[in-house]
Amino acid sequence: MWMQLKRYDQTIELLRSRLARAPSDPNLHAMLGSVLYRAGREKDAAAEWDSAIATNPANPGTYRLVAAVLAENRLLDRAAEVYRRGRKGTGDGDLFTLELAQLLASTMNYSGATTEYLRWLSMNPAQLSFVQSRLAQMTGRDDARTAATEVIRGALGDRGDLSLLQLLAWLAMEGKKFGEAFDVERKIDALSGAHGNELFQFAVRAAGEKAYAVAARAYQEAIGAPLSADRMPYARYGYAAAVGELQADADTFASPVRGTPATEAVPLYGGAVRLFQKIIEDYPHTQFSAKSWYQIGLLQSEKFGDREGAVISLRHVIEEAGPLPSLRNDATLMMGKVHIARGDTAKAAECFRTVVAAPDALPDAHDEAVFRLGEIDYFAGRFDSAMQKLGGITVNLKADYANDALRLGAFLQENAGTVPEALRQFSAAEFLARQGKNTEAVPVLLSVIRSYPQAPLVDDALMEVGALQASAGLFREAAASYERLLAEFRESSIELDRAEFNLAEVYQYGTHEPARAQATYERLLADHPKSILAGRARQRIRQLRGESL
Amino acid sequence: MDLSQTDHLKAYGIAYMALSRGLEIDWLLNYRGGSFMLDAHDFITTECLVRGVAFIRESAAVAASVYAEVQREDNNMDVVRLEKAPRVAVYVPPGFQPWDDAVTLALDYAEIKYDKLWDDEVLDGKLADYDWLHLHHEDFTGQYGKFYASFAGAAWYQAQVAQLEQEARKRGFRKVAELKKAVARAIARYIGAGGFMFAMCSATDTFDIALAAENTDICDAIYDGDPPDPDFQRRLDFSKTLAFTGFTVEKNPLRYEYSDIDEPPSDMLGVQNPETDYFTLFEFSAKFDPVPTMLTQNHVNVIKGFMGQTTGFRKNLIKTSVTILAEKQGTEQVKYLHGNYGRGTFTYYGGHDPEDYQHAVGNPPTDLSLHKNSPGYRLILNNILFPAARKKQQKT
Repeated sequence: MWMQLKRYDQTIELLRSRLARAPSDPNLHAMLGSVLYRAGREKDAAAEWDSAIATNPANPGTYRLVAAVLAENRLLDRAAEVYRRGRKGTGDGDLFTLELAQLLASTMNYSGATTEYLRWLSMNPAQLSFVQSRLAQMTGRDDARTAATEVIRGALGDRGDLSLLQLLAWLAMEGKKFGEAFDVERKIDALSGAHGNELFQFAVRAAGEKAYAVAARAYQEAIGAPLSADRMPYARYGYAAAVGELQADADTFASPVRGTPATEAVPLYGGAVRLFQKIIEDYPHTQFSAKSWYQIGLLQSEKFGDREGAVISLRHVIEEAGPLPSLRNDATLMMGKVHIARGDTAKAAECFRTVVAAPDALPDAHDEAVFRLGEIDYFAGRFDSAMQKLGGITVNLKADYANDALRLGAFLQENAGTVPEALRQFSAAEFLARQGKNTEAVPVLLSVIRSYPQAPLVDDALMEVGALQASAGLFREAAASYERLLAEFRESSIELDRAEFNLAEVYQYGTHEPARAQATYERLLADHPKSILAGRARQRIRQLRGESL
Repeated sequence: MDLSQTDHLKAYGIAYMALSRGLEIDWLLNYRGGSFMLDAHDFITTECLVRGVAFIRESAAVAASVYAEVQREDNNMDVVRLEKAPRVAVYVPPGFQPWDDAVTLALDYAEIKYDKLWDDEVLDGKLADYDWLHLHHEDFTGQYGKFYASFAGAAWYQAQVAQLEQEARKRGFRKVAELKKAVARAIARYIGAGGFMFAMCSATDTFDIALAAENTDICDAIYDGDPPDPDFQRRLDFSKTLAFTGFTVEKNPLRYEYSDIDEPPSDMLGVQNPETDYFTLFEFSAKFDPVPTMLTQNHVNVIKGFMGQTTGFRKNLIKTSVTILAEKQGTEQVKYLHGNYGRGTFTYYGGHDPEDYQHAVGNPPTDLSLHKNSPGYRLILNNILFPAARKKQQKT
């Protein structure tokens, strides 16, 4: 009670009188030390705590008692010191390990705490998970993780201690240091005789964290280990996919205004294609070959402009994707799009109808198929039928394709009734553009502009001309098209903000004129401050000014 | 800056940038929700476009008519000239904290530069280099935010305790509470010497409690290793506080509450209904009370409430010298207050995050690009520009 009331002098008097009767009671000494400390008599307190220990220096409990009192007074460093003394006093260097680790972590002595946890691990080798969970309480901090890593490295030296290596790898992964983790994982794999299994598991995690370079190396080494036969195809596919991602990262040709030319793309992505081909050879008619065919088909269609090749690849996917219905439906959809690009709308429609009828098609795949069927009607000038199909998708506004369907539907509604012939020519030009026949599409669009200057779709036609010219690398011509739209349709077009944005992009990525690009983005903000593109324009300006985003 | 402003928060950043570049700004108090008038330089208009801040370019004649309207005797408006970008400091601990700070969020979003200070800088007298100081979710009582009951085992809590104990020892204090009291006194001296202090959430009441408890120990053993002074309540010295008087310090070390200043108390927050929780800004005479008018500039005068460890302030515990700027009508809760201390001023704003009704430990920070027109955040930014105002000559 006196302690609670901070009546320290009376408490000291009471404890001293008790000690006179029981001078060897460590509890009384420890408590007296505590009161003396709170009364500001630190030297006397220290002497009293020493006396407590002196009552029975060979008993670990004495040190525990004094350390607990010190910790209660928030003297954590001194409590740790008492435990260290206890080790010497009892002649047992492994005593108080967890107590010390906890105390040292509480005083941010992360190296010391890690040392103690490693001591615990060496005494209890089966408790790796326990030690890891304790370390995890502090390794959220960078400084703690660094300290722990250094201590483990020091303890490891040149030894091949599996537990320490596992801790080291875990810490490196926690810090997203995948390269370091990989080096450790190699040792673990070799030491544990995992034959690549450890490396494979690591590669999967690294790929999941988008650390593709390290993932690719880890997959490669796992494959070369060699990995067990049942995991090998997974590793081979993972490796090929990681290489594909790395090659996409290295694709500096692609820009918002123009894709990578096929002449550049073929060698660029060739490595990944060869890896997928080899998987097809080695694991024919399996999910791995089906997925590999799909990846090849994707590259052929979107990067290489090889539509015939893509059709063949995708046919393989459809044949081999048996247990993977979503892969089969995705491949069928892509096949349809490739057929459109080949100008074969009949085959394209067949593909899309297959997906529409497929009971296992996901809602998004189903909606896309309906949308593409609507597009085919539009290309063929069957506008009413197109609008009917698009209307079905817009019922659910949360659907992925609702927006595309609404946009095309509104465009058809605006033009089909008033300028059907202009719309027919416009859609024909769009169909040509979809086939990559830009040089044929542009004159058709220009003719629409000339022949129907009052048609609502004239500005859309100029926008399309600009986009086609830009994608063909004709940046000056593209800029002129956008400028023309901005000059001639300033009063009537609803595409002005988009035209200014596209023009700025042409300057930024096409003609590489940053000052003009910035000025054009700024003009967009001044002319159309409420444009949906304003946010992106602001971001681009800051990018051009070299500001961190 | 009425409802037509596209980004109220970044508008303050534009004003700050202009001041930083040596331009003068007229703050047109109460004109269209409080507006800024400055010379039309191209770099300003471009920056407004880039940051998405709406502006109107007016001719000299129109500008003159605006000034005339603002200064008309029968309009509750006035002009305050802003001359110099205030040097801004935020009192924030180094390292990670599992909660965000509404002011640093607002400053970052508005692109207003600031420095971070902590105990060492405050005790070493660095505050003198700044015009404006902000305190947020800090605990000046030395009870580590009173998170013990809920988070004693959490790594971040233990690291915070260890860090503060180390700092205290390094500066020669036996207890963290003593360190924090010294910091509070240093901040009070800074205000007294002419500084501007803005505090939110628990920094408000704990600051006053720490000043009042200068000569007593209010911390339980679980915080500082020894029991509190059994007579601490009687030993509180309310003459040392800034805003509050006669309050009762919470004795239960496990209760997430410091005193009875907080209204409603933290353990009553569950009964609050966010749908009906609003506070109202008081209207002041712009021509006679320019300071509170500046601090309450807004495009709305009823603002949705928000909680915090300290959500609001009990009205009957506020010193009579303090100006109440906003309150929750029909209750005892004051949300926003302002007062003078020596040659400086202080502003207290209750709650944690104006756009996150109940911001919990570990929640992600609020994305202010989704709250560009936040009236609650706007009040914070009024305080940033307030020190830039030129003091009017007093009539003799």
